[in-house]
Amino acid sequence: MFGYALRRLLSTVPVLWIALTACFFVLRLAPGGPFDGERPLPPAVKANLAAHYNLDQPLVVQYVRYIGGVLRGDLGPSFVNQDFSVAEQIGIGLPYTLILGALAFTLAVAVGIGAGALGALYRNRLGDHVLAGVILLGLVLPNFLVAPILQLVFGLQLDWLPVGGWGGGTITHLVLPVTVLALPHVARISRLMRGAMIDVLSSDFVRTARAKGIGRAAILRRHVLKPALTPVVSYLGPAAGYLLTGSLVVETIFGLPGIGRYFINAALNRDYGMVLGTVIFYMLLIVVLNLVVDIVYAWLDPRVRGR
Amino acid sequence: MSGVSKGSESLQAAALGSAPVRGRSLMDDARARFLANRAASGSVVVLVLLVLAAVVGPAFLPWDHETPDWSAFRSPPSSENGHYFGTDQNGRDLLARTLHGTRVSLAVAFVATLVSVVIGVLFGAIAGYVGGRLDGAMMRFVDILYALPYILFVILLMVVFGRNVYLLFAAIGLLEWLTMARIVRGQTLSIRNREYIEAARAAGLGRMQIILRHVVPNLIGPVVIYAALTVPEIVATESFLSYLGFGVQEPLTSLGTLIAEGTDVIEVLPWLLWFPGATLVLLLLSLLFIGDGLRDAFDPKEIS
Amino acid sequence: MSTSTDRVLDIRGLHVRFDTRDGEVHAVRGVDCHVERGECLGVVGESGSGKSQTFLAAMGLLAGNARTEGVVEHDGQNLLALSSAALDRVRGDRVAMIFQNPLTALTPHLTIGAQMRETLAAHRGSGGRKAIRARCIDWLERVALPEPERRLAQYPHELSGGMRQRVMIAQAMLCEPDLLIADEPTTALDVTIQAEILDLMDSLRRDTGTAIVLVTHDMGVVARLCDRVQVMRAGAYVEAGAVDAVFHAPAHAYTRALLDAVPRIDGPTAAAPVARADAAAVLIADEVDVRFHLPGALFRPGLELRAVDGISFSLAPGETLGVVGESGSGKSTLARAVLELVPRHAGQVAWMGRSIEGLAPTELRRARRDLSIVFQDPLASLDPSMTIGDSIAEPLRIAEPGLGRAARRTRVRETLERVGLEAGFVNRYPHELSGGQNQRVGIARAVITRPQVLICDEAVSALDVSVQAQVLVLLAELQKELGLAMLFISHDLSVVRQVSHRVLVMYLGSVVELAPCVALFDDPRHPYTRALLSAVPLPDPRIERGRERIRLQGSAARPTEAAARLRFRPSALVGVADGEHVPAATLDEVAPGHFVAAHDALERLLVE
Repeated sequence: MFGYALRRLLSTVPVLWIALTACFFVLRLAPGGPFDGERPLPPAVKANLAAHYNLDQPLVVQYVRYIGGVLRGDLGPSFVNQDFSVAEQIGIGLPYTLILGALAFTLAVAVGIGAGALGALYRNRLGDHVLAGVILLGLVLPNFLVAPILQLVFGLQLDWLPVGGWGGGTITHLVLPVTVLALPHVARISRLMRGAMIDVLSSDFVRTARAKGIGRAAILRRHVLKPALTPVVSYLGPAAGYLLTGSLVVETIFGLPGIGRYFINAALNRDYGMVLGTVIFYMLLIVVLNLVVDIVYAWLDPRVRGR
Repeated sequence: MSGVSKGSESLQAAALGSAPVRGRSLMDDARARFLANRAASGSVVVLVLLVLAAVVGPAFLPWDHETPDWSAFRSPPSSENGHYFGTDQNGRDLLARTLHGTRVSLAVAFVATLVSVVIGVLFGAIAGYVGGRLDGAMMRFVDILYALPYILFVILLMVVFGRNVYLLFAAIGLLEWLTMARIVRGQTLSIRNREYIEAARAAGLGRMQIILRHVVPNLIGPVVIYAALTVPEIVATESFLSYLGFGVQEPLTSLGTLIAEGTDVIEVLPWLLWFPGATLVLLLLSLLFIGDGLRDAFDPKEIS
Repeated sequence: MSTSTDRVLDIRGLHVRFDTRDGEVHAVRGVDCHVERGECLGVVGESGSGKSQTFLAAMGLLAGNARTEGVVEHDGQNLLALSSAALDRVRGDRVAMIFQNPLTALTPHLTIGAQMRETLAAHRGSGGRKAIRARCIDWLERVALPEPERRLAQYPHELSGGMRQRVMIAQAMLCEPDLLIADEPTTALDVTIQAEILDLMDSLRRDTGTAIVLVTHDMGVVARLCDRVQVMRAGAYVEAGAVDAVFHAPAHAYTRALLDAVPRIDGPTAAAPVARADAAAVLIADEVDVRFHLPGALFRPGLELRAVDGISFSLAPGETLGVVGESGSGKSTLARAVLELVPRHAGQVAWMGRSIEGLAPTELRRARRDLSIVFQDPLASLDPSMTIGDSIAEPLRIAEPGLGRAARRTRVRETLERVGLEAGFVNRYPHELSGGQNQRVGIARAVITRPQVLICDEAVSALDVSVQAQVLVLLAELQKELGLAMLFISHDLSVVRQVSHRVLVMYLGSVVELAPCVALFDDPRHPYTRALLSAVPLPDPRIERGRERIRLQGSAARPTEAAARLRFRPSALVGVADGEHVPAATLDEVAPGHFVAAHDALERLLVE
């Protein structure tokens, strides 16, 4: 198990390296980019940039320093906001994004797995059809459409929930954003879970377990759950990525002070440094999350580790 | 031939059956299943209507999507002034704008799907057929890209290189080819190891002949299915980018942009959100049913 | 006539119906069957006979779209009428079942120990972890599983097929049930392992008094193990009775036909081929060597597997060379190497007297018209997107490109009729035909170019007995008509006896014995051949009961290890390192045309 984890960890290194290199070159190749003076920058920012990027040094040296900086946690200066570096801005927004993401993830996983399992066990009954309908909505409705509708209904017309803002993280403020963020993933996860469970329930080894007379509960718990979870778990890696991108919209619409909102503002303001730094940060985060998911997957399926 | 008694021949009748002459290919089976699926076949009708409306519709409207109607600012939907979907703050007819936006969304989807299918199929088929080290390297590459938050990268590209609509097509297309490549590679590998490929080699067919006569026809099914499933994802992605402001630019408009504009004024001019929103949902829903219907038609064990 | 208290299971008027997309399927039609205490009942039938469904219904294991009707009585209760909680008390405790494929039948993510323990926990309650563990180990020993303590912590995929089936049996016997239902338990296993498992089941039955129901298609297995036999066909009962009576004096025509169709290792062999004095060998293999590279992991280097290790033979026109071996023997690889479908590492191959070394690719392809191959899985060897007419025509297009479309079509129709299919099938697709019909299509495709050599790679192994018999008749006719030389590869020695003139026995890539057919079967010299022959079940209860089995030590489970390769020459094992390659044994000609690989004396190799 440990060997497998180590191997996976090592294999993420080339991934990260390629990603960082790609980002570096995007920045350098930007036509009429920030370094060419097409858009006049305030002198203070220019000084920051020159110092940070060592613009007078050969390309190779800049590259090495850049990688070194990233490894030390320095993601560069913001091109617009001279008071805070990118890393600092991310640091400010991070807790909000993490809380939002973690809650949405937990909700999606819990409800998705539960609903999917129930749908498989009670196939083609009323509940399963209702679930199919909800799944459909979750898959089809984009989050930027659902959000304002919910804001309108629950916030303005019914006045049950606040329309936006963090409000110190109270539940009423978080309900809508977390739901909107989680909905498409509840749909996908329950669909995967339901399909996987139906497959597992008709497998040979479940038939053997039934022949042993150990009882339905034991069969579900010990024989069905783990293999049914494997496709769900392999979805969780990409799901982490989708949650992050989804949070861009959710934070913007609900006015939450997370990284996503900073990112959007930076992008609209053409703050290359901030955009680049945030992209790097997100990439690192997602690679780490994928690694965790892969390890959980190996734990679930012993055959994967053996190699 | 000694050694085998006559008794076995008496079973001959049982083993051979009589049957009609015309064959039923797997395609025929799939088509029958698809047509029997009401949600899927109904969605084809809806999609065709939507496409027709988007492509041909604007020719029948008195308004175009950017000229303001000075006499009808912020008008709710009405049949008297001819603005069936209403107008926006600048007096532009919403029906025309919605149709135009649909047209743009469909165009992006079509081009991007084409890009992603072509790249994905080539990549996957080569990796799957050649196998060995090349396959390993190509799939490592796909795995690497899979792990990255591509949308963010696209936004980065948009920010840095400017919002060129062709770049948008290409960037979105490049997003989705990964899944297609994986599917095609998997299928190619499984086909390559099938005995009918060995039989073809034993009969003396050359490599190219085998690819054209045996591999390609058996790839069509999965490619069609996943292309169909890719389209709604691309439409959704384009809308997402446009909503955030990174997609198509004025004077072009798309459903995402319209929804963004509508969200700003949802309290006072709600129709600006409802109509483009409903259109987008309808489009995605019908695409989804069609994609699912195709998948179930070709591989019925997915059906509940 | 037994009374109901002597009966462990009594099935009366059982009907099983399935609701499918294509309508209702009536799989079991009013079957009566009973099992007496301590006896072994064989239930035989071909595919579609409903034999498995009958017992799956009894155990309540049918799929969700099944409906049952009738009575299945056990210990005074009708199992079909029980609630699932009540049925759970019976299943695994009083009535147990084992299945055909032990890899998929055991849960892959649970250890062997966990799977065994849960049966005990469910039926015998607590008893302390130690007591439960001890009982599991006890049963693993009783099924002769080596290193039982270690196995408890292993996963199913870490064990070989034979070991997994032993685990299944042990798991089923943990609560000492009244009845053990075995659904094709040995079909997926090699013949020597099959024999061991059957012996095991027999001895367990005698020791514990558990009755056994053996559901199988193999008449030989029934003859060996069972007291009574019941024959089923198309969901209905055909006849039942004591094994001696049914085998030697079958009452029903179907049973008679079935028994006639089964090939036997003491049955008739192929008639001698018509040999031409000057006939040159049509196929020559000389020291053919095929190696596969098994990839290593991060810290383990890769291994080289010699799937075919220096095999030589020649094939004369019109003769059939049977090639037998168990799984891992390399026989299928040999077939493909000789056809140049798989790269050879070394050795020469000559087609029609001409070496294929150094032939340009186009010449090689043209030369292929003289050789054809028929595969094991009829459906998988046909392109599903092509009509069978197109599939059959394909070799003809390559071999005779000048032939016009109409002429080709005529040839296809002629060939279709020659193999026993209606010409009207030409537009149908493989998935519309049965296995037997598809195999005929495969044969049609193989013979349409009038080749001189036909390779049959387990060509009848996937077919029902009656269909198999017909296909063998067809092959024999075609051989006579076209003067075909055949390389007939099979793991089924009875079939090989029926069709071959000479036989080659393979073990882990090398030749163990090569002899004329009668000589090999009547006077086998090599210990491995003798062990194989003694393990093949004969569909004749009188003879079968009296047979002695020869059991050899060791196994072929780890082919890269020296111990496996030197299984019949342990005296040469001294000083040989584990992964080191050992040259194949030399062949001695012990009688004209009869070659035997060098080996130690039989007595040294037997299991104590």
